[in-house]
Amino acid sequence: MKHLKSINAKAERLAQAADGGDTEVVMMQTVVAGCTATFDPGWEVDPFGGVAALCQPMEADLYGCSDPCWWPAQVPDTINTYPDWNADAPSAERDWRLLQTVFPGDSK
Amino acid sequence: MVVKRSTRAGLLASAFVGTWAFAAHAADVPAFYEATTLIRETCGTCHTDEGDGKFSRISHMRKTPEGWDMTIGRMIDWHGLKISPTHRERIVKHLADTQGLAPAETAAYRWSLERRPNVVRPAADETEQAMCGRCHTLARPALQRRDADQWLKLVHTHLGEFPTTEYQAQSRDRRWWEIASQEMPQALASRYGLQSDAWDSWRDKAINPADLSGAWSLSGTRPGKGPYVGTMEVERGAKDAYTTRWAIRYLRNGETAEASGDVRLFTGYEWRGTSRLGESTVREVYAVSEDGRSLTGRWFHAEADELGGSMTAVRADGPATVLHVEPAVIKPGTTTRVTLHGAGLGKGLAFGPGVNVANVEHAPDGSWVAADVTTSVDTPAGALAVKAGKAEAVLAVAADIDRATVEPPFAIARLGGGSTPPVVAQFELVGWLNGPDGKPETDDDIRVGSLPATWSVDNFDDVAKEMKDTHFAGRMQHNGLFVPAATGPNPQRPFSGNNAGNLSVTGTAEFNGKPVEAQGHLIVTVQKWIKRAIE
Repeated sequence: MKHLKSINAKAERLAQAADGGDTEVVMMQTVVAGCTATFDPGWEVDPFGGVAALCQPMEADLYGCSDPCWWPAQVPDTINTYPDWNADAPSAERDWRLLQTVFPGDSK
Repeated sequence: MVVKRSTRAGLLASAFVGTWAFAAHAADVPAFYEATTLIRETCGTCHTDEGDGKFSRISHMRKTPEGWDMTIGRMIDWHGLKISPTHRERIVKHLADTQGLAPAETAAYRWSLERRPNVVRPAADETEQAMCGRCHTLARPALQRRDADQWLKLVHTHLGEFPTTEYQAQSRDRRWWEIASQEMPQALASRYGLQSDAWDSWRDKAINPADLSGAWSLSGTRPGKGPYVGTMEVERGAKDAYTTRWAIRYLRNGETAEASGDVRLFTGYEWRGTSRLGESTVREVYAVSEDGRSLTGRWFHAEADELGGSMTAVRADGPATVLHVEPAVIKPGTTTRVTLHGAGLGKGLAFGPGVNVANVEHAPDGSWVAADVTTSVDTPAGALAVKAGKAEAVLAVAADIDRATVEPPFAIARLGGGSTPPVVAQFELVGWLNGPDGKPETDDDIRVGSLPATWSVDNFDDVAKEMKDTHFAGRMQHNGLFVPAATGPNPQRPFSGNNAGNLSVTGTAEFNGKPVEAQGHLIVTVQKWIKRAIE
């Protein structure tokens, strides 16, 4: 990590993990594909069991979760099931108040 | 389908229409619509009629009422199925009754159907955890029954509808497709196969259930409010449909609430009700015993299923049954008024050798019996075996509580705001005696129930302290209810982060003048936008 400078909280946490010899976390950095999955947080908790290293604000990358069906248990996927979920909210960071909870198969 | 309504009550009142609205529509179903005719007309465009009342896919699996309702929901979302609520309920009822799960098959997973929050269960094995458990609770596969060919089709469905499943980071760490298509169908079929002895012996009872009408005696605990007792009158309507009137009284503060509701019985034992309890709409998910004389389960608020109460009920006309003992613990060398709540109570009250019983009173309907119970200073700490006629119960005797625990020990709350309601977390402080072996956390420990407590939260670790999580994540209320903060980017946090937080929870009470304290762990995290009957 000596050639890289951490510029946000998550990077700082990863740097600390690397310095502490946490090889599993460092290994995950070598997986170069996907977005949040590169750093492997869960939706609810981060790799450290806390929340400080979640993708935050979550709204900044939310459509990177919904468009490729990245979190289909938590975020409506706009590939197949809920194509119009965010149609009225072009910017998640600005329009997040408009995003609705979905109830799969609600017949109303 | 995206639901566009502004209030939480409106949102959830419309959810899971197929399962909850049955009672209201039951009488409207045209009698001439045989279920198989309805399935042929509704589903037959895609599902091949295999003759003998069977259809491709549909007739080769078994599910809970919620499971069948979710199936129809997917047909609506994915394939544009048009179906009226009346027809939807008719099909779900028929399939749950004829292709359901036996009581023994759902027993280990009632927590899922009952929507109990913060339940942590170990996986059946590491592979099932990785292949199913990263998105679903393990109740999702365990509450279905299929043979391997149908489990394989479910794998295909996942890959077709959720194509990213295969190249998630946590799928790439293994030969995902080979495991999914070759190992999992066999493994799931051996664990949750279509044919079972439990179902073979239950299937006749599923369509010939006991009549549940009559008077019932109730008891349960509503975390945050404590134990309650009550009564219920059940009246039979159309086949497997009932109306109820019930009333409860919280023992801690005497608060009362009355309710009336509609119930539909599925699979001969799956009680699904909707009641108006005071000012709230509550859902009821109970399992009725095979003889139709008792039931257990949970009711929860339609607007917030994380809030609700456990429920146990028995027929009011006996036999003698103790549902609740109040108080749960008494001290040596004291006289305490003890009340047993249940059914058929009044005769033969005994608390064991060396314990005096006086001033016995009982309700004319047998719903309670009370007495002054006097212990000596020599009465040993532990569990008193209480008898009331043929009914048995346990009353703890202790000068001190050995330890306390916070329930749940690990909880998740979710931020709410905009159109998304928060998910709150309700904690309870529970007292324990170590039991005859004197050791904590062993099988002979005696649970003495929830203790009225005061509550606080703190930052769980240094990172949480640095992020000032206690300041941003929400507020703990006096009764152990944590209400999370608003969602959305917060410019006051680094990088406009969300109001997530990693908190420790402390409950403090007094017992016999001595402080009792325990800690739990609370993750306050971001919202999710999908709400399923079985997650």
